[in-house]
Amino acid sequence: MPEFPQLAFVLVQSLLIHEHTDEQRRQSLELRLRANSIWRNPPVVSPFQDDSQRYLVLEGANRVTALEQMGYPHALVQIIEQDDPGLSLQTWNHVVWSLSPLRFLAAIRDVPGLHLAPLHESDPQPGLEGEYGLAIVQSSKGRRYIVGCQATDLETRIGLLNALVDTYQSRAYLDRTSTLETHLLSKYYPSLSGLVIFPNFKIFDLMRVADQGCLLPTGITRFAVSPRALHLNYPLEELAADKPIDGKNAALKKWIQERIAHKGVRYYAEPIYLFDA
Amino acid sequence: VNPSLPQLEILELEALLVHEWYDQQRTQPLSQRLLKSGVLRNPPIVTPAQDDSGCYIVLDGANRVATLRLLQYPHILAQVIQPADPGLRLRTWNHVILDTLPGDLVTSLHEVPGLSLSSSEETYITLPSQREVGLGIIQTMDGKVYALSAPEGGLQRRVEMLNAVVNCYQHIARLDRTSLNEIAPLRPLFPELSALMIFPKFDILELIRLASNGWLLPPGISRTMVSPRALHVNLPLSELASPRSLADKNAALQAMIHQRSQQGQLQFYAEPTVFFDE
Repeated sequence: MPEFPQLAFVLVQSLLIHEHTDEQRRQSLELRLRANSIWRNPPVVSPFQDDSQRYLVLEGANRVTALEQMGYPHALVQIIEQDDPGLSLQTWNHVVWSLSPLRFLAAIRDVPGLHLAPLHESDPQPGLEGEYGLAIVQSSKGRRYIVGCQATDLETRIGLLNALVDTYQSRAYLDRTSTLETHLLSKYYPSLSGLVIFPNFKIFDLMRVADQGCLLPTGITRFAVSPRALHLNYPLEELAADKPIDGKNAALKKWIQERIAHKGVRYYAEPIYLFDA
Repeated sequence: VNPSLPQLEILELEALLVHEWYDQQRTQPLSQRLLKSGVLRNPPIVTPAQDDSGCYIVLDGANRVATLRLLQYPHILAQVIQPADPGLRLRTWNHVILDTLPGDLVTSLHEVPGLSLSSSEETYITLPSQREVGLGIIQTMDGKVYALSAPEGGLQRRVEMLNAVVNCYQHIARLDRTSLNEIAPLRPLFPELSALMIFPKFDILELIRLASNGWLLPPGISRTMVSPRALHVNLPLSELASPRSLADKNAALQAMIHQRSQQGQLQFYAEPTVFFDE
């Protein structure tokens, strides 16, 4: 096996999420966890580059929040360093559909602090920082607008980014996509409202966001982690146990070695489709 | 937007041709695991034979195919990939030879009729070519490297000789497999390491020809990578065993895939993954 994911127990209170959680999903996840008594897929975290011993949750905010709500002291996570070549961060865009295109744009214009302006080629890319736009919206007819705001501070800008998503997420259907052009989507979405293109983030941006206690809209960051640990199925009672973390990590190491010795671990180098996610 | 879903089909079991011997030691526990779980978890990978026979060549999953045959199932779920599909790549697993002395191994190999061993102190040597056929390279723990070859005799002869080589050492040693082509990194992983057998590569047309003619490779040396690979389909065995027609079963399979897709149960991972529940 060419590489192996780094798995470890960490304190739940040392984990900082960077995106809103989905309350419905968290509740059903909590029920599943209690029913199955196993920790299936470890959240992916990256250590802060300071001496705070904190970790940014890159993926698995609902799982981490569920553990927190259940009062668990420790989480079993996959740790990856910020500069690991196996880590990359992309952004999901939102395809919005079943809301009239006019109402879709009007709702965004109606958010106090936000405005829409036609996008010019010379316009800077949207971003979380400074005076630039927050996102790009493309109408169902392909017209592009920059979603602008006057605010320059991170907290207000992230609040407005959430307000932008709030304009459609409860009134329309949305899918995540990496596509940047509505003309590629219209044949799949006959009632297309438009496309929202979010800024490209860096992990450092997300650490700043989490550090300030701000949260991005749910599910717009997209991490590729190579290799990714899946279907760990570790006993949940081990996460809950009132034992020192060092002892839990020693037991985890032994458990992994036994799984490897019994051929219970398999590496897939190629892309996969899981049919029981 | 994710790439297309893998092509999954239920096929007649008797239409499948394997290209490698199955591992008898693995079929017994596999059949017990299959029956206990009640599902076929991962579909074997097959490619259509390049003739009008309607047969498929099993690229990955010979033991699953053998197990379902032993259990007398009429049908099997498979992932079908075309030979020219850019998502299909063939690699080779090499044998890590354990629990025997390098000297004993070499002595045994010398006794294989028709096999030539040329030794070298160089770490990297190439397989013999031209009038001889290269069968592999053996690197031993005592720093020797041997090129294994036999007189030219075509693909069939090459496969026969490979089987003779593997049969020779599998009775005096314990085997593991690796994708590595060098013995040095294996030393810390296997304290009982004796040698590394590096196998030659076969292309897809050679594998199809082997299977179509019933010339079988030693078990588990060909390594098929398909992109994307379908995993954890968990098709109930009762569905494969039922007396319904193949067309009905395939219609039900497509409906199941559609339903799982609608329920968000299909997840694509572009990056390499490590599963801990194999």
